[in-house]
Amino acid sequence: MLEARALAFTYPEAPAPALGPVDLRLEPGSLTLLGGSSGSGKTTLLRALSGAIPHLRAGHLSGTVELDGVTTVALEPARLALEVGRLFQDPEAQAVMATVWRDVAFGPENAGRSQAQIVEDVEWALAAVGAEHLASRRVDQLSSGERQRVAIAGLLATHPRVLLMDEPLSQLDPAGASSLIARLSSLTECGMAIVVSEHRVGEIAAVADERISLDLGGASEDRPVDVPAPTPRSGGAVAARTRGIVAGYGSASVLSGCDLTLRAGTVTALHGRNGSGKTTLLRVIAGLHQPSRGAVEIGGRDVTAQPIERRLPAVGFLAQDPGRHLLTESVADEVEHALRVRGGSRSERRRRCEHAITACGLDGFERRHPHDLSVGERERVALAATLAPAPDLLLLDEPTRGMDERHKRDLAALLREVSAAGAAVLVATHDTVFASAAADRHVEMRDGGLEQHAPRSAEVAS
Amino acid sequence: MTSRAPLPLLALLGATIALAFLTSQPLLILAIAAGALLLAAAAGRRTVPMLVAGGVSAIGLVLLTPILGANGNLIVAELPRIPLLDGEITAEELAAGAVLGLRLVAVTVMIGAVLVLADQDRMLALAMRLAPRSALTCALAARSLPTLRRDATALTETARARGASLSTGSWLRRGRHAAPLVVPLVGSSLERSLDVAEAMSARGYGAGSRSKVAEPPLTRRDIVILIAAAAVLGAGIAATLLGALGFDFYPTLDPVLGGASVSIGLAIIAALAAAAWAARR
Repeated sequence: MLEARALAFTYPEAPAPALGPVDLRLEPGSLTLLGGSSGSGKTTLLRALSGAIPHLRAGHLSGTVELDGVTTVALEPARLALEVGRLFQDPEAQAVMATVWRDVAFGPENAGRSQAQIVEDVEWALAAVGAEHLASRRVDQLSSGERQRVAIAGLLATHPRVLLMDEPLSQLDPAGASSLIARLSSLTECGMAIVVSEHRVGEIAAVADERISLDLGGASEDRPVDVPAPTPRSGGAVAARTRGIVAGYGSASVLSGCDLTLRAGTVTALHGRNGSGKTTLLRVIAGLHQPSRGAVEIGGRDVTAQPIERRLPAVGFLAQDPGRHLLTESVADEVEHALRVRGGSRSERRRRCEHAITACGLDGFERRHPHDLSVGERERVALAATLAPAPDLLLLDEPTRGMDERHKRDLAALLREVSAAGAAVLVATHDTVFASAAADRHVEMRDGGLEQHAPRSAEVAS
Repeated sequence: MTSRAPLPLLALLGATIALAFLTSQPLLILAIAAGALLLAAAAGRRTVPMLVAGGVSAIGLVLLTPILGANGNLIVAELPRIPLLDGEITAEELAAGAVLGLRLVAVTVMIGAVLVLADQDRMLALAMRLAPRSALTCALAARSLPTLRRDATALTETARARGASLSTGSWLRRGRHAAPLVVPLVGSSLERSLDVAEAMSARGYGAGSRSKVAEPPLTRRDIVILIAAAAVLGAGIAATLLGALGFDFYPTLDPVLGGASVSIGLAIIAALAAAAWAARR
């Protein structure tokens, strides 16, 4: 059906090829799991298979991609898209219309379907991803997990024969991920060929027909490795504490009485479903969101009324999707940025900067522009910039998005190292494997409050 | 939260704006402004920026009209002489400026409310019948604004988390710290625009002749709005026939209260209030 032969691609002015050479053959009804470390070319391969390369992205392409024996270079990319759907890494970028129903209908409209057929296509696609209840909602008011489903429905509505998915699980909680995997599995039974590029491989590997790694030498970096859960540490002094935090957005209440104590020398994992309030809690502690009630203490001081600027340098905060919001023109500048703002000697800044770059596995990237890096690499740059000032309280919101298994393991070890040096770490994550490798304690957001949480063995295995 | 069909709202907007520009009768413009505020209240907080923009521009008009004009008999203040400007402030000039400002507020708020209340996708579908590509380009540009705003917020927060004083300190200091954020913001928007182009192609846009989803029929509420539009149009026609549209500010102010203008003003408010009730979310 879709076949790539000796496919290789180099982006303009890039020092090395981003991909290949790769040979790949997709058969109808197959589910292929695409693995590989961050920057190994997974996204580039999906772009090339969908025709976005070379039609929309410049660079040097060699080898061929053929759909039913016809090279994709000769096919109109828009026509090809109706046969080969591609889910972007960032589902927000994929929406065109304002409301869900209309957005899902955009593809069938482009395919010139009849009005009755469009209604049928949209309803089928929404049902296929369990998003019928979202039909009348505005796209910009959906949670990240809901957007992911709607983006997939938008592709399914044109009934493509091949579906290429770039990290579809990255923004889903474990329950959402399991549900999506089950739905993908049922789509293959209808004859659809699906390629999933994913770092959270546990569950999806069990249903995949084939597994391909893009790492040189064929060694898969994404194979989950059993990392024994570390011995929990009880920690030292209280680094931060929240009491009865009530917070929300407008009239919508998100947190309704959150009490949390974070001790120096420990890593706490914050679990919870999409939209449960993890991000809001982190933002309240960081000083980016003012609670309507309750108190935040850092280092024994009540800082509730203080903005984040006044909580520095005690607090380090890494927001979700930080790779999109890097501030400078090179990796080294980015990591040194916070140190420069706060002053200090040049040699000390350089020492801390080098240490953070090495700790985040970015040696050799110092002069690269952040926009030239993969999503996972950008996330590590943002992490290094947060770690460089050595905060006493480190708050991380979904830091493993786009990271391969090796870097997740390294990050887990790094967080334990940072906490062993005296910091308190709070990390919100859906990645239960990463959480169990990193955390001393697990708490779960539920109904606006916090509960102690012990990762279930099934989750750990995934 | 259901958005309304765009056609009745656009008809209401057209009738109201036409009347606002055809009349200079303060009472009618006041009625239109009051009705526009009712619609804005029905639309919610998203109309606040338009209200602020209209209000600020209106204040400018109120202040400039007496200085730039040299009309009216009743002098209420005299400013120091400045070449090319009129230092005599008259009550008639102030009244004319206030009416101009009120008209601007009414029109701006009305447009803002209709843009919020109307179903954007159906509005786009309507515009695409006239100019398919231009309409889509405009719609995508408009849709990218919230994303741009979110990116700007996220960049600001990233900078604040690194120690840049953007919410504390003097305005000068905040400005100095904020200025460098323009470069990553432009970079981020360029990256987003590439994403949009790729998304359009990945969704099959340009694959051939497009079809369109069937538009849903007008609801009862849409019909109420359509009737309100007709009522505003009728009020305008009645005002024209009864000679209630015009108003002379100079050399002295006409009497504001006339039998016809009061009745027509009340009719306009009632029509716009009914539309606001029908359009409420």
